[in-house]
Amino acid sequence: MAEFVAEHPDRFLVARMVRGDEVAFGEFFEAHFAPLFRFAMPRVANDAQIAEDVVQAALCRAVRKLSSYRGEAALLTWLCTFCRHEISAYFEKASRVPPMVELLDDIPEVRMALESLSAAERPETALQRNETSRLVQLVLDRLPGHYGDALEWKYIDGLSVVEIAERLNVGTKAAESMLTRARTAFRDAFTAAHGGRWSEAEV
Amino acid sequence: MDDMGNSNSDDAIAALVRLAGRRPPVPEDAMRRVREAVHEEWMESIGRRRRTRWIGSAAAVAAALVTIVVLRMTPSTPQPVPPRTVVAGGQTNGAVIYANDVYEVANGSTASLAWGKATLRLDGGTRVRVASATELTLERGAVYVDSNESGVLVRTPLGNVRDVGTQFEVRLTQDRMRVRVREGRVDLQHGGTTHWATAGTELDADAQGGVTEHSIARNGAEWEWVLRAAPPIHLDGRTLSEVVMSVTRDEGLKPVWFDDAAQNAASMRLHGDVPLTPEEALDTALVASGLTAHTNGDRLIIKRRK
Repeated sequence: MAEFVAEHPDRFLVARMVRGDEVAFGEFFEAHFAPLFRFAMPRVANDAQIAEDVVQAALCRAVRKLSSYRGEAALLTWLCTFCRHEISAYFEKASRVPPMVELLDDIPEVRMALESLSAAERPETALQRNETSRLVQLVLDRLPGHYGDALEWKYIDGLSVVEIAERLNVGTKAAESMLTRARTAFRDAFTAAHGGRWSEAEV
Repeated sequence: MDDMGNSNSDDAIAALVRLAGRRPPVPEDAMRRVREAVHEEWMESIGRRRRTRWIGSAAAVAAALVTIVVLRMTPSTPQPVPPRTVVAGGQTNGAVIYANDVYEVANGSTASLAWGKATLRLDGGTRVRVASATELTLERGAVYVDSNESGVLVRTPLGNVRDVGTQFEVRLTQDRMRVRVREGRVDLQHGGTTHWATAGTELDADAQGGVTEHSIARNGAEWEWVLRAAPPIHLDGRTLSEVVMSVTRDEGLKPVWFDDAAQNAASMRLHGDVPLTPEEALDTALVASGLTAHTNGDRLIIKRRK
């Protein structure tokens, strides 16, 4: 049980939702709505109403198919697949041409790196410095649990560990240990997505 | 990587995150609308699966179906809207608790709220109006309060219940109110008289002002909904003893650390990010510590796993 939870947190969350666990639904929505909305926005020409519609359609379709989630990809990645379909369907239905934007996370190598946070392959596409910010935000969105929030609270809002613990309703030691894991996860994911070229010199 | 390397790397992470700035916020009204729509879809999908099981399995028919809906509602009668004041830092299903909020829980469901210093659990079919961090009105259904000595007041049409550092349940039916005390003491003001009840006691008040008193068990089936409504438990950083105490308190049990192995493991610190139900948390913590447990009356016997 403990190992299953630790190794497959997304599958565990989905299993709880399938059982009808209301708390699990709350965790699912809180963790995935914002990243999915941010995923959709640039793909619908930053039209918030369209983004809302496609994200809602994607999430509704996904919750109907929860029992088919096998945990082979991260839950957010799985949800992004639904979102891509909904975006295509929207533009098809509206007889509109999707905006011609090349997004970092549409680059196959970057997408692969984001999906497997431990991937070591170096993406062949050179990332521009002015895209680093977007990559950082993408990585923060893809980190598990509250890791992305915790790093923002710590480094942007300047919250102390005690304040972060209060926000997460956990003990100080738990918050400290979570921050350590969040930093490690960020470092691994960013390194993978950025081809191992990040350093103090980068920033 | 050595300590210096880690430190440099942490500084770089800090700089990168600051450089990127905060991720764009999402519109709250959009979030609320989508949440409601997806929640409805999810509930329906669970219903569909359960109906399928109903047909396929007689045992499943007997199983309790859990259909949980927690709605934060605005008062139904038009009235001036008071300033929204946060009365508790806790959240339920992502919603902050505000003064004058009304919470309603669907039949067959449960919910828990962090309410000031206390924790509040709501049984299915319950409707409460939260007036402040220490006062609420129970309009129907049942609440369970673990007051943490915050001196809360539960108002009902059949009388008011004030805690004196305790865990208690107030259940309201059409013409009766039942107050059951699990720990500590409560005072019930009813029909111009103050009655009090201590742990293991139930007060049954009727609409004519009568109150009867009974002895009750402090654990068992009557309290099961309280456990179902319990908030999730995070193991990370907590000791086995803390987890056991938290869960046994919810179950009305007294832990007995039966052998040396159990006593030695009590201070073991646990790890794990995923929030668990109390039962899952207890199972996980015991398995991780090489222990097992069984109940004997009102005691939970914890010992080495063979």
